[in-house]
Amino acid sequence: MVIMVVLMVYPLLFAVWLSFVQWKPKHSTFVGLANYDRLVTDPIFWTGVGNTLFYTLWNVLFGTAMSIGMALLMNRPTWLARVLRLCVFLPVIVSSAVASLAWIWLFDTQNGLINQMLELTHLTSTGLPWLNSPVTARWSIVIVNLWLGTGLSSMLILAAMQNIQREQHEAAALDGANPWQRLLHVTLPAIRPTLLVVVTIKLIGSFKTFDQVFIMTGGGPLYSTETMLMYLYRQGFEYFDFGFAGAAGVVFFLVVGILSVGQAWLIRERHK
Amino acid sequence: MSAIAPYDRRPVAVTAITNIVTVIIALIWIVPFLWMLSTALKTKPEIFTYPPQWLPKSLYLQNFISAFEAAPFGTYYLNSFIVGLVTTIATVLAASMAGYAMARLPYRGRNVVIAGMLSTTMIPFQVLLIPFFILMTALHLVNTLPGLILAYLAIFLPFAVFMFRAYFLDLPREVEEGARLDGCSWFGVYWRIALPLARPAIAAVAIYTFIESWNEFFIALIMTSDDDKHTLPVGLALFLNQSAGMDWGQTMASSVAASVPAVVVFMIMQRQIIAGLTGGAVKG
Repeated sequence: MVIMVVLMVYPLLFAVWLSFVQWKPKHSTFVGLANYDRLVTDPIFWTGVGNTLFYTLWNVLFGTAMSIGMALLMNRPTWLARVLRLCVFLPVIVSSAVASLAWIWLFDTQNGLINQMLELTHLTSTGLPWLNSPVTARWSIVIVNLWLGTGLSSMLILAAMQNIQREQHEAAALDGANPWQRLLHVTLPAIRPTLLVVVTIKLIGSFKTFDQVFIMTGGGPLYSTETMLMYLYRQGFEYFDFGFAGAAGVVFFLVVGILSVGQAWLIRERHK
Repeated sequence: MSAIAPYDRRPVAVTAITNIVTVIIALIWIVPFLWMLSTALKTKPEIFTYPPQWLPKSLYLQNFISAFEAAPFGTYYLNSFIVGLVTTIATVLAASMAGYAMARLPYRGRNVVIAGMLSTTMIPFQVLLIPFFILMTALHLVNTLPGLILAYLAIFLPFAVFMFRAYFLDLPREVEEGARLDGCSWFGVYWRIALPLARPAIAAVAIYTFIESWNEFFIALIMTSDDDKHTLPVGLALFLNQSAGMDWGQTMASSVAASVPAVVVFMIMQRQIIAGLTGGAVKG
């Protein structure tokens, strides 16, 4: 417990102090709000915030909807459904570094599998630039995010679906509800608490987007895939501007902290 | 679950379409891995043929050997194993003790401790990164494996403690109370009675912790800077940047080699892992 406090609470206070100084190993000078001033006037910081929100939106809205569909496909009593569960869960088990490398190779402009398939099927004449152009790079990251993030959330939703009493479906079917109506009026209300958890996991997870961006694009080209955490990393560990990175960290903390408290509050409401 | 309920019967055409959709989606998820494996086993000319060859002509293993010669993958492997094992053992020991204390020991301020611990799980570690790094620098733990292990403990412990606490709370108290009356110490009860009963929780926490620390990238990237201190994920990511002209055969071969331990553990203990991860996500 003492270790916990030392490791978690002390750095938190330290983080706030850091954001007000120009950090040096021996004598840090107090600079007031200068770090924050520099932060909000840096367009790249706002690009990072914008992209993070962009990824979050896709993960939360589209990713959750996709996970529900996936869970429905997984929740069938066939061996195909079991194979699907295994395949979709695999990215959760493999390191994000491995997954990112696999996707860089798939996205390769000249020899990548995706472009080769596009050319073979004559969907496009020359293939797409994927990670090499600012417009397509963002979408490439969205694709990888969805591919990475669906395993856990669809498995959570599947578990919730399997907890629904059989009788509920039977009663609804007896009353003449078709499958679509049963999805809307039996399944969805029953998995609502789980959906809440899935959405908050995706929300907070999206704000921490780093590994795949760092490995696949490094935030580029032209900062088109930059995220908040990439920005923090670059300031802190490439430019070693700890005070400034500390200010970015505090802003990051405020955003994620509000989301986390919101999550805790929502879950507590559910338990009452 | 095994039989299809009468109300779930669909026209044959609908079932067929659903099956086809299932297969396509499963393929989208598995092809990146299969393609990785296939590339790892191909010779250079094979890798760059158009149209793409799905299967390598023969099992070409030179990529694995060349990759291990081009970068110290043996060292990365060893580092990952050391970090994974020590983190896992320390997490299981510390978390089971703390979880037991929080579930059973009557002491003042227990709820404060529990609430304090819970609140630390709300702070994303990334926020504390810079202060944590400065602290670790001051302690001369940056760029050392113990430093990385300490960082992982700080992240994995709260979740593990709550897993154990929940498990111990569900155990019947009678046996433990009997042992206490017979003069057994709290530690004796924990060590001789509660811990052996908690084997499923130990398995779940151990697997979860090992796979997470085996795969973790961000903290390992920041905490280690020397090549002989990198774990596999960091070594892999940097290998791609360093190798001139991007040797895809070698990159994919080392990716396959790096994934084997976690995937093998997953294949063996699939049920527990999914139960642990989904349960943990709901609770944590």
